[in-house]
Amino acid sequence: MLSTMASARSILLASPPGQFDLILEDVKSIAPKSLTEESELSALRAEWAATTGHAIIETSAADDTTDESSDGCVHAIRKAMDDYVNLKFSSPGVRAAHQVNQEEGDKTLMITTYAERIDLNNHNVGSWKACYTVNISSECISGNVSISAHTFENGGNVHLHSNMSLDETSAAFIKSNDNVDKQSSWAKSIVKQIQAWEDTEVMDKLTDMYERMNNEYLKSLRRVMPITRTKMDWNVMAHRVRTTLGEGNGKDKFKHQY
Amino acid sequence: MSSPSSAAVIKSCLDIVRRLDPAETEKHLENLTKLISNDDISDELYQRVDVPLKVLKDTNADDRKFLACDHNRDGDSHRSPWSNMYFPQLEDGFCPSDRLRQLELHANEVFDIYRELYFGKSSSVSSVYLWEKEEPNNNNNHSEGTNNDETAAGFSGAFLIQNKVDNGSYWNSIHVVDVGRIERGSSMCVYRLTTTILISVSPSSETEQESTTTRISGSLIRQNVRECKIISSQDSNSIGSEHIVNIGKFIEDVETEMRKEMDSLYIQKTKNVVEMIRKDVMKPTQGQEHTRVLNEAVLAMAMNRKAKLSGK
Repeated sequence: MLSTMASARSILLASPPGQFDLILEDVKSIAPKSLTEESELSALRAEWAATTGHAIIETSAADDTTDESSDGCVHAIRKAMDDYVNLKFSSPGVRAAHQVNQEEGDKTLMITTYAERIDLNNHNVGSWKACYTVNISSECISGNVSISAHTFENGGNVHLHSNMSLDETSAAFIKSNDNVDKQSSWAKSIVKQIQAWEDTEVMDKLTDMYERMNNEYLKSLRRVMPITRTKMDWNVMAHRVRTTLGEGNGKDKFKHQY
Repeated sequence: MSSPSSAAVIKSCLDIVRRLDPAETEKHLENLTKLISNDDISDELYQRVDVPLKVLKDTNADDRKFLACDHNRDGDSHRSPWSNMYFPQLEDGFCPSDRLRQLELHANEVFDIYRELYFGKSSSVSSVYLWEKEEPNNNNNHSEGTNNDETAAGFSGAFLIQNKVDNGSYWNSIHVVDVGRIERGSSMCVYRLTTTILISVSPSSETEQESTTTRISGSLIRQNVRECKIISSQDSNSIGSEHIVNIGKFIEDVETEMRKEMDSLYIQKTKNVVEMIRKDVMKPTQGQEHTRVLNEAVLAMAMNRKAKLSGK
């Protein structure tokens, strides 16, 4: 039935990192007749992997070529990104990969990074996906970083989703027939911009949010203690209300401050 | 293949809901309903899963706001705790007994004070709904013995709060309490409390563009039990007040504890997760910075001494 497929698809595409198969098990348990076609399932899995960025790990693992024949600029960026990803995304338990693709007839380079850490035993998972567009002719670079984290222990289910756009900024100039050294230093300057963005625009802003979480954001939702710095005196208040309700007529009963 | 048992279906649905983003639970419930294709199971699922509360206005009570949930719902209408009437109007919507209704009104006004202390005056709303428990023998004849006070027989209640602020962030507290029966000759009462907190934090900053969004959404469920001594005699009117006081203190303690856990255990954990993915520990706090400076100084001294010893 079409609506069942659409519902199953909506649920599965919302799976947090590393949990597509767990949710698939549940969906099949609820509606055993849905998603019985292997091709349907593969297509859905591929769609989820593409949207989340997980697909990059799979394609990168499958593709072993060093691709010496590609454009010099592409090659230089790939090398610089290799070093960068090894530097920044190599903590224990992290799987990371990147892709560099040429588009629009050599005018644009797309750099995509994906990293994830799946620790189901300790009930936490997370992913990092970054896309950068280098426009060689206009000498500009822009980007977007998507981060997600999920922790789900002992009755809790907490998600972080952050999507940050990085404003277009000027990049160094490079000609396609420049020599290898020039291409290499150009590539390094591109990656340096990426690193600067990720350090300041992304990580620093996230740090700032977490630092303000307790005393600002959560506090505006619920204080830890009342302004009086003492807990509520329930006995006094219960008595006071009972007296008021007993005295008041019907109209006054609903008088309130707002 | 045989169709799964309803218990198995519910279990799988709950597993899905507890993995996916709590801010989108309603959307997921709609999709799960289509997958389940069984009204009874869907109804049970909706009773088991909490969603952010809806705010309604009681036009019979000066437009005072109240919260809509399953516990004050009859069909598609919801009962206001202020005027005890249904919106949209219902001729004989389900209402608590007169005695319980008195207690319910009392509980609402007291809980309202608690709401203002912790959640602020204008952005938050609270509601309390009480209902009689179904006795196993279904014996409504209270003429046996002198105890005809429902509050001694025990009752159940939902104590709800919602706070929603300008940037779209919200907090929902859903406390469901089971007040135990007080046996003749006993002065103890057992309260069982199931609490669900649903939050969404969307920090907005002055420098943020429209295409930059960050949201932390969470749900936290806890069950607690507390036994309290009841001072009032079972026939008196003040036993209801005592229940309100006991439940109120219980809720206050549990809620404060859960708020702390939400931040220190869960929200900060999401920060750790990001740090574990991208190497470059986020800026240290002042204390950590101090330790780092000390460590470097000690290391420098040790290196210096080593250099001197080796005659360099």
